[in-house]
Amino acid sequence: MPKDFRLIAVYLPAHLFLDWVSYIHELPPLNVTPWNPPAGLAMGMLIAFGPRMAPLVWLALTAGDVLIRGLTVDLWATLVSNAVIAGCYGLAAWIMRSRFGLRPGLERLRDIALLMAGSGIAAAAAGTGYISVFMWIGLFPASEFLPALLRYWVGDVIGIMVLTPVILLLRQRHWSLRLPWPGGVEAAAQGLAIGLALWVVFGPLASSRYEYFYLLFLPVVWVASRHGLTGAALAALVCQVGLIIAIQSVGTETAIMTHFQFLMLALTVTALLLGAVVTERRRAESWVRERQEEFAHASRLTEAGEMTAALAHEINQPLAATMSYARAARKIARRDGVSSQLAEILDKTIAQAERADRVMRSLRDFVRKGERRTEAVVVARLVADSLILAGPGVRQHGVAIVTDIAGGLPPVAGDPVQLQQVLLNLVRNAAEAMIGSPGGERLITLSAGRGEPGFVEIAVRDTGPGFSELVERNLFIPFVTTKATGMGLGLSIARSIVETHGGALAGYRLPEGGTIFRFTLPIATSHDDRHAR
Amino acid sequence: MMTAMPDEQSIVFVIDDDEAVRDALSVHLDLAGLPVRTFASASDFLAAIDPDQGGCAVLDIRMPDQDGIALQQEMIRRGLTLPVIIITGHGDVEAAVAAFRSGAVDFLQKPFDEDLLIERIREAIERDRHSRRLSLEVAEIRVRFDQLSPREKEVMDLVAQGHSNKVIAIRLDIGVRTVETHRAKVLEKMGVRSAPELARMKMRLDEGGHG
Repeated sequence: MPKDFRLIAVYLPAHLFLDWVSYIHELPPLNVTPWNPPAGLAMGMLIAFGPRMAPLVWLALTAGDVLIRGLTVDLWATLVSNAVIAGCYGLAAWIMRSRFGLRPGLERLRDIALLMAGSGIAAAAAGTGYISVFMWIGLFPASEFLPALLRYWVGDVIGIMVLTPVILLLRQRHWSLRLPWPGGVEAAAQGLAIGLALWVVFGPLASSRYEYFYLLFLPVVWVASRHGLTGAALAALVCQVGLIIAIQSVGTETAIMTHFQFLMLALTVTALLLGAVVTERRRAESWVRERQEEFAHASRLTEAGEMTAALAHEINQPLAATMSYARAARKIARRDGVSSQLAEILDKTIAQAERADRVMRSLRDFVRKGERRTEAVVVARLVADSLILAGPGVRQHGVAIVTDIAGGLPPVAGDPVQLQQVLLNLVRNAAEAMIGSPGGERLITLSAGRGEPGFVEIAVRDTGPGFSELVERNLFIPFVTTKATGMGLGLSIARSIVETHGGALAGYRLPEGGTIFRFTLPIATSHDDRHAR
Repeated sequence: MMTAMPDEQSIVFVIDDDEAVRDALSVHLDLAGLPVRTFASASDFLAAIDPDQGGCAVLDIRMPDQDGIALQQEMIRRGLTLPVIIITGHGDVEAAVAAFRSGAVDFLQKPFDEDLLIERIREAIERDRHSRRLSLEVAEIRVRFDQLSPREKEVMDLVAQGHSNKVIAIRLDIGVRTVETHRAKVLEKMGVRSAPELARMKMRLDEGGHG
């Protein structure tokens, strides 16, 4: 509970402070203002910490009525109306989180959309209840119900839209306030642009109808498109504060104030949605980048392993022959009784060759042991994931990729990262073959279907120039390549991965031109299914 | 009485694609006094081999054109009875199992000691000699057996089963005297002196009859 006390110690003063600054253009004698940031703070608390914060919100609202407005109406009406507000917002926060899966980090566009819809409905409900209580005790005539509700609604919604995202994002610490130097300059320029827009709207050049309000959209859109949701939320907050200060200094009447708040609401909604889209896109991009890096690392490791294995094999034979010759020489030396020094040197020669042999063997064992996860891999997903990795680099060269996955394919057993590497290598190879040749259609077809019993067959086909017979014979030999760059390990790695999975990989020239690489993978058993993704 | 031991020398055939490995091994075999012929590939070996040549084949399981297991299968298909010793890669248990399944008489894992290989080769050659001698004997018995008349063959069967002349006479519904004549003829043609020897021959014939 000490954490809760700290929360109370921060929340209560903050709520009262916001209530106090924002208590302008009110609907006397009630707490109905064109801008109600305490509602945003309360909603942020309720979403972040749950409905158990509702009594605290109720307490803060009541404290505000007592301390700031000097309890202008009956105490019981104040207590009841504030309970309605705290209850509505608490319920809304709970429903958004538990029924609609709102993430308090606002990571997705749908979180922002949900927050907007949820607070719109909650504010309407809270406002209806709040104003009804005061109509009940005869503070308003029924005819004023709708205008009062509208003023209440826009004040609360704008308060929530402007402040709640800032609070939630602050809590998630998704941003760093230490901007790098160029970023700092840009942020300053953006702040300046908002100030400038406000000056144009309300300054000496402005007309009495303030029709330049739309200019505020420009800096806000700039910030949102550059800095995502965090930037959008901050920009909206800065605009709102600037707007209130400007309106206060110009001395606008209440009706216009409410009109401005509607404009401001449109601005905020635009900024937040744009910011959420930008953030979501950036997150997707960074996901792809991370996968690509992970992947590049894994391929470098496999490449190194493949190279070691190939090297070990090449060295193995001459080393074996050397040892064998030396042992024969030792036999002859012993048999003929030639100098004991010669026999001794031959002993040492053999010992050293055996030492080298042990090193090579342990190296090969090490390479062979490379750990492999086995799980049930859905073929369509495997293909899709591989294309996420291979697609961007391939499509920019005008190569089109089509997929043709048979329906109802069972999952295959294997290590998803390694299998992605096989597909990636084949797709890149196909693309490079076509990029290297002039003209013609550039099309890669990725197809998957049932192979021989117990296997799924996946094929990568291209419309490139194909390869010569000589190349066809040496396709899978390490270090043999037709490319100017590269080590000639791609296909050899693909083949060793497929083979360790229990499948087979082969490449053919097609009579109509182009090449096709086909490989098989075993269908996952129920044991693999348990790890299905 | 019986002939002819296989008097040609047994030869060790070494098939390995690496020239140096081949050469070094032949030095060891030379030193051990074993005649050796080396081949760089399975096809060279198959082209040169005489089915009647005794000895032993040493194959590397990993060869580019036809691997050791495939060569072993091909030898069986061609009726080459030469015992085969397969050399497998280090730690390649699966290959070792496959080698045994395919009918290799022995296998050695790399790196191996040449003296151990020579010991195994000698065992294989001994086995080969033995089986060749047996099949040669069977062949000779068959030649003699084929010279018997149908009646003599019947008499030989019954004599080999240990029946007396009387029983044979009743079984075949002929005179005892006639049986005695047949029996003498059979012993003479088969080149033996007694009924137990005849029985042993008959057994050999039945065992080797299908193979």
